[in-house]
Amino acid sequence: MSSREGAAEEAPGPPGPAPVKVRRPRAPRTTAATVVATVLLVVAGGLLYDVIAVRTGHQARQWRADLADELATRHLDDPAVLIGAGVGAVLGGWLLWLALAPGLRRWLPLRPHGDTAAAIDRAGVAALLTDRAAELPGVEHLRVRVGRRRVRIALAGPADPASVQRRLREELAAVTLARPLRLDVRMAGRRRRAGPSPEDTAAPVGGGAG
Amino acid sequence: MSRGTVNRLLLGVVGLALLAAGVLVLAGGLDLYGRLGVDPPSWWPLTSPDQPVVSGRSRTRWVAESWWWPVVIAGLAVVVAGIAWWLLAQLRRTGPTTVVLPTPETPGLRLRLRTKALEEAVESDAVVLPEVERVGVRLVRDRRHPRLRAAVRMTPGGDPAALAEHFETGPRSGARASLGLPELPADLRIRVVASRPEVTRRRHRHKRPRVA
Repeated sequence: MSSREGAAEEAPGPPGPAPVKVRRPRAPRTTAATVVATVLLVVAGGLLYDVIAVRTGHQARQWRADLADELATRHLDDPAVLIGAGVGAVLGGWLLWLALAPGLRRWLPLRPHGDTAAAIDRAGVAALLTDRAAELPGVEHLRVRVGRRRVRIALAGPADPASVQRRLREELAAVTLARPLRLDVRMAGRRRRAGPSPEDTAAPVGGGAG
Repeated sequence: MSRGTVNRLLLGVVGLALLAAGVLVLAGGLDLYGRLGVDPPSWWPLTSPDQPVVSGRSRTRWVAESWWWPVVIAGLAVVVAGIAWWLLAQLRRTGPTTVVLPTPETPGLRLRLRTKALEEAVESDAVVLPEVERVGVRLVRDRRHPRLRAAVRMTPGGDPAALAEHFETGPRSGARASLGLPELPADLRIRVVASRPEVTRRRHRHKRPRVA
């Protein structure tokens, strides 16, 4: 597990250090497994119960009789069958995706420190950048969105976006992510930049960072 | 096999079965074979839009056989038992209850440490680190190859790289050394709370920038 050797720091790209290969953590998929297992248990258990009931001389339950009847009479081009098959195929593709994709998209791995594999959550990176930007002069309003590959910052106020970008890039580099994020700073609302006044601050727009 | 591997394997099997069945029915129902000019082999199921989902022939093929119902019941029972085991595995607390400690000096002695004690010791070591607000430590993997998993809430404006370094040299190395384990790797998950209340109050003239 100790990926201490990492990838040798060969030829660092122009902005920031080169990415380091770290083992990406994989989600255990407990919730998905619980839901799927519960549904399968209900279906298979109900079927088993009913098959045994019929074998021991009882009547088949209405739902099973209906289901067998529908399956035997409805043709493949019946809309209900097509919709059911489409839903099944989409659901199956989604489960397959859950089985293969690593998950844990909210965590960004840091460079390894010895045998400690650290990761920081994306909302945490956003909070660090926001706290830093709030101390910069001329920043009245900003919106930080941290993706898995880049950070988008929309800025309002008389601040110079290039200097803000420089300062925030320093802050982002201090996080020492294993795979450094791109940082884009742009001005939001040119109207506000033209006439800045203390009252002229729109409410921050809500949204998801993680 | 770890629980995650089992979960992913079974999710993949269920997903593949659903996907295959859905695609087969869709291909037959929309007559894709006819439109694309593909001629499926004779044993290929569900090829014509005019056939029922379950044909009469496949419904009655084995029903008369004496072995059919016992086999169905036995198969279903095995499936139900397997799924019940899978479901119970999700509800169990993961991780070992004890850790095996090496005792090189006294070969006959089998020394084991309660996981809870180790977790609490690492927690109390980690919570006094600078910039740590709250910490929770769990031990995962098996008792011979344990792995620490720590979730830390960092103070706003903290330095995550320094925190990881402090955790590595402090609680993790300390626990590994005092237990005499050859290695005790750790996962550290760092969260940061969004904002400092006093900053908001001090700069009330400005609208507080928010994470959006």
